[in-house]
Amino acid sequence: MTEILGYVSEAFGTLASIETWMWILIGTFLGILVGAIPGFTSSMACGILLPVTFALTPINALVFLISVFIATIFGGSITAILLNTPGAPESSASTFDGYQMTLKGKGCEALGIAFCSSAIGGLISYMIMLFAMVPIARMAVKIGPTEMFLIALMGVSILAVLASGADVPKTLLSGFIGLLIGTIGMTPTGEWRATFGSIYLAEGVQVVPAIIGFFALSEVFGMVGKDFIVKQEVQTKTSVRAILKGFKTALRYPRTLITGAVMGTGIGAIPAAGGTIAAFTSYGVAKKSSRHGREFGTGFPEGIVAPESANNACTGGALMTTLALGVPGSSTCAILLGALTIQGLTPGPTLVRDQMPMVYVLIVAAILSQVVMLLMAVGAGFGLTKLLNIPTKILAPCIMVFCIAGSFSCRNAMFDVYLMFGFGIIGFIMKQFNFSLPAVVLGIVLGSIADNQLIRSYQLFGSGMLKAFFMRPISLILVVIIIFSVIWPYVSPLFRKKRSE
Amino acid sequence: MFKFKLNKKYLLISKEILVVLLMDIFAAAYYISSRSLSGASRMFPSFLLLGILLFSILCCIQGVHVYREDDEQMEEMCKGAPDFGISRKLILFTAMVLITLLLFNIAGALVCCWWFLISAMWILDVRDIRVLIIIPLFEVIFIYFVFVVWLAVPLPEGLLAFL
Repeated sequence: MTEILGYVSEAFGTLASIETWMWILIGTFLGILVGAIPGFTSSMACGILLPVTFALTPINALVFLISVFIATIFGGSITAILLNTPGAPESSASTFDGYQMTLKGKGCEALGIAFCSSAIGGLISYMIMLFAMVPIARMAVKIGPTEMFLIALMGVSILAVLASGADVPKTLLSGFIGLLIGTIGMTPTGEWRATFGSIYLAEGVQVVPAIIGFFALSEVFGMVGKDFIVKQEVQTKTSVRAILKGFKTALRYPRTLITGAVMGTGIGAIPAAGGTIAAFTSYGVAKKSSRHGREFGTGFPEGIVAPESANNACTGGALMTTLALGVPGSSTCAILLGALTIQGLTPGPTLVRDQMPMVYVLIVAAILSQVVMLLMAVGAGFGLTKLLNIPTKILAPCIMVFCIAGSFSCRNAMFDVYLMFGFGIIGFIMKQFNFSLPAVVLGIVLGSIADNQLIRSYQLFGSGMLKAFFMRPISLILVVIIIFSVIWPYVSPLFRKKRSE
Repeated sequence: MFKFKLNKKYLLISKEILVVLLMDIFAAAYYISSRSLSGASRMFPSFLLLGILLFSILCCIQGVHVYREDDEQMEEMCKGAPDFGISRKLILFTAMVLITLLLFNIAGALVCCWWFLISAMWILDVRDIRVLIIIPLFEVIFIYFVFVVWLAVPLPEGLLAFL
């Protein structure tokens, strides 16, 4: 403990330079800006800005990239909440209640809730990282394909939560179609599945055009015929006070904040899991365990707290496995891994053994950038809320152009733009008949992960695959959680009824 | 709602069945194209296809209603039923998006975006000449600097390739 505190105080000393603070500020600003653009993920932002770091000192370079990494997720939430257009896939789950709050004229408060939850989630995650980095990272890489499949299935089980209180067959049908779309592409056995002869589908359906299409474009089509996004009688008042009120509201849900942060850190540490799964899982768990579960999806603050604390906490988890074991937890971490190598550092056990002060500098820098980000995001949120006062006849074409450019930049291919357009039309029609768009997107995100891990489990265990699910301890725990989470929303009302009788 | 008369009864079919049908067509196409794959590659999709079949049947059952001629509920059902919500403006706007996408590679991204912004705003009843000139120009310049200059996205140059 004393040793850790020594490292932390040493890290604060190292970071007490104007130059380092300047790079934290620049990284955070650029991260929020890129994050708010639909189609630009944190990995794309870090990849684009990587060359900037070549001329910097190792500490400044890494501090800059970590600030960009964390801030893109922050930025993505702003457009997700105000325009139902997630800037990054990790912010998709924030649209459920965030956009509903915006429609009620509480856009600024929703942003405040998101910023505060994100920052607290991140801070908890980095605190966990300070004290338990090595053991958690070691445990995370022990997770095999059976466990990964079950984690993806756990995400799928959220469909049951989304369905409860809504139209069950429609939600489940939407989710299953999403899962089927997610399985398109080359399988781990090397076969091309349902690509319909298109080379672009060999890599599978990209999540970014799917999210832009289903969320943003369907919303743009919905804007045609409306005067403003928010009805004039409930027009949003842009004020810093409302954002700060959101901070207070977020703090009213400490249990959700902590659960989301712990869940995000855990899922983030698992290679290939990522912030999108963490956010959806956290939302599902919060909806299930909350007393106000039925109000989720109608603009309930806890519905923003849960995904926001988890998606930002994911960055801490992902950094843990990257720094402690040299195994990137996400594509952005793979770029950070490259940046570490370029700066002459070897990520993995040797880094933790020989360069511990450096590791703590990075963790403390991440903590500081959360604070900087909170201040900057308030400014950005304040400015961007004014977008809601622009008439939709001007706003809709402008968002459309960003959607086109954002989808194109995903792979520099027109195919993704056409895909986004198709998903947008389908999404708009689905929305008219109350089919669940979040369920489709959740399915697309999880479909490929679940399918790939199931095939890998089959390759590893053959006919004994089913046995492996029940014989491996982590798998068994996950199986129990999944069964419980699917059954509970339907069984709990019966229990309540019996108790009241 | 689609309304059919059968003897002294009315058969009401919700338009949402068309969405279910669309999903089923996709699922059928998926099934046909992946029939020849190995067992491992078909394992998870087979489970999903079964689920889609089951939930499609449930959605169809939910979307079909039979009423007697004199039933008052029928009129209420028809009035409250959701519709596609397609307006003339929306069709024109969507057509404009499609034309823009088709011309994207030929005319170039920036020219297309500029043209789309002007025409889409015109369709959506923006008649202020200053707005029609300034906003498209400003957004195209912003897109150019953010996407092309800063983020190095190779947006199609098209007509502007000579520059």
